[in-house]
Amino acid sequence: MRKKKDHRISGFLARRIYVVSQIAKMVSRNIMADKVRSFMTCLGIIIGTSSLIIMMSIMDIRTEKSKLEIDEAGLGEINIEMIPESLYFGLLDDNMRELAGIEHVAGITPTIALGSKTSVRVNDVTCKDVVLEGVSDAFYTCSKRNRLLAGSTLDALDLKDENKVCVINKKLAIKLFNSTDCVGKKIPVMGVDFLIKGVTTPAKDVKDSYSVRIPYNVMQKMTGKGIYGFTIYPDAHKNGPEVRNAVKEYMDELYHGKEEDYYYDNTDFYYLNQKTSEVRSAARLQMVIAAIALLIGGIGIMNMMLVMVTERTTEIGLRKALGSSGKRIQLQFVMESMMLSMVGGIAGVLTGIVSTVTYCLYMGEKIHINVASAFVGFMFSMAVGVFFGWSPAKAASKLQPIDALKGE
Amino acid sequence: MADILIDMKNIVREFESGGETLRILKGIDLKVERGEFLAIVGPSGSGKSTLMNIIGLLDVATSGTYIMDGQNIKDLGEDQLAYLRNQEIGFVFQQYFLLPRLTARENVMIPMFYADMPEKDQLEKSAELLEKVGMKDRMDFYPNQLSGGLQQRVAIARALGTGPSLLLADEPTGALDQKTGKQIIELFRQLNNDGTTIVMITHDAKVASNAKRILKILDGNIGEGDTADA
Ligand SMILES: Nc1ncnc2c1ncn2[C@@H]1O[C@H](COP(=O)(O)OP(=O)(O)O)[C@@H](O)[C@H]1O
Ligand SMILES: [Mg+2]
Repeated sequence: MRKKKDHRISGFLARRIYVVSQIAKMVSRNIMADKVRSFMTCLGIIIGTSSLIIMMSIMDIRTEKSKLEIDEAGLGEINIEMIPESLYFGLLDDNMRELAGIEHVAGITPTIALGSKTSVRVNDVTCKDVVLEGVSDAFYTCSKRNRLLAGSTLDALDLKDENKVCVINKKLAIKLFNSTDCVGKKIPVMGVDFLIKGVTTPAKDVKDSYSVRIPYNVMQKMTGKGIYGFTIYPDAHKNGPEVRNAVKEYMDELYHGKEEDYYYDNTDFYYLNQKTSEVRSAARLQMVIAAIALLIGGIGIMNMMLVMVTERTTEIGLRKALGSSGKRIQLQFVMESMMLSMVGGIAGVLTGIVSTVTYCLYMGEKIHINVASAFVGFMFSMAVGVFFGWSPAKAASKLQPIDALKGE
Repeated sequence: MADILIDMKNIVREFESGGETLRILKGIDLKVERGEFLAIVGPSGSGKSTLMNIIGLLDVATSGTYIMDGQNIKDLGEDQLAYLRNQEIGFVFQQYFLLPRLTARENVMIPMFYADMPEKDQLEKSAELLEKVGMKDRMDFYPNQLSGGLQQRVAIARALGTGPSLLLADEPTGALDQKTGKQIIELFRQLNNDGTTIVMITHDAKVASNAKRILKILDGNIGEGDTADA
């Protein structure tokens, strides 16, 4: 064959870069030139991705809500009570530490109650029916039963230094001071002045009595009472049963060899189980909905890509007739579907986020976006778009040029 | 010895259609020398386009040998065929086949892009070719802004982009009025005078008379036609 003058760009890499940049230019022109088609192609991706994000985020919010309900009602707590005669001095601090060391335990608090109600008098106001309890810092930090309205709750230092501080409830604060603005004031409890550190109120709208809570070791010193009851907080709802078994094992060990029931497990996981199974089935539903959203989006993308390539078989034939290799045609369509999928994916993620935020604002919820779904939706759309843009283009690029030109 | 560009022996092309085999080309022998201007005539449906597509490497024969510029087509891979289509052959279709989203100039640049020509050269060369076909002032028009004759000129400029040695035209004037057709044929004569080998299909005897040699296809067989101005 006669030698022709070589017009080509010199250098392998330079030529590759040139080819890719030229195709990118051509592809973006193609996309811009037929905005309707491009938009329709993107639409499947936008719908798939955004609906996935919206669904997943809303499900998350609902799941969080029922988890919070469990926490506020204290449904995940493990309560143990012992018969006082069964142990001379009650449980010791060592026992508390050992129990706190059980796997999946977030915290433990002894529950020491006075047994009868006491009265508190401030200025001219006397409140007779006050329930006095000794607890640890975990009573507040590990539980959402009580919401803090003012000041702070008991902390580890208060226990270590045996501070004469207390947390009272709103009901008592209103009764004594006519307001919850009483942090820093002192109240006499059983003849000793206690500094009010904080004011709380039950998270759930339940009836509560006048309440004063002080560090349990201070309570022990004042009353001579031992620890004959405690509450353990598992670190997660799902770990509740496991922790409960471990606690019972510990207690059985403690009363080793004794036949009678010396302690009661007052834990009631009935509602916890009910709620968690609700949460679990919601999660399962979430997966199904996600799969459906992705499937519908995927079919939309697939459909548009197939139509796009079929419509353009003539173009593929012409490009082959003018000397394009099959590979270069495939590269063109891969890049084209990639750009469309990417634009659609980004638009879908933005649409999903905006809709979810709108939903949260409208429903008065805390704003939450399921980030994983945005990621998965975007990647999935890309994968489907690129695959279904590429594979029919690959098939078409393998045709004889004349067959493609005739649009077969 | 003459420089043979196209050497076909016993080319057969069959199509499967509705369960039966149609033998459209029934053993064609064809030799084309470099520098020739050959016209192929014949009634509609006689297999002219089918033959042309095989010559232009857009289709493959069912059987027979095709040696192009000394190379047996059977021995070539996909990429080598693409290279030949790009470098050695310029194809002009009856339906022009311009890409509607590209301007005249961009259409002309397509084969140059597949030849990996630098963009600067593409711009220069496309302008030069469009000037040659009389389209200098409409380079940035889109196909739908151009008449059929002008679109065919763009298609011819496109076919010449990589300096092919063989120009194939399948009824290039078929969709044009007489005057425009004449201009296109005049363009071909010029190109032929400059050294391009041309094979053109037509069923217009007047158009064919411009060629140096005329072959007639009848019912899938080829025969020598009238030789014009030999
Ligand atoms: N891909 C094909 N499948 C079936 N028949 C075909 C195909 N291509 C061409 N033909 C048939 O071959 C015959 C010749 O077609 P063609 O070469 O286009 O004729 P011409 O160009 O001479 O008018 C026609 O009858 C046509 O229907
Ligand atoms: Mg024809």
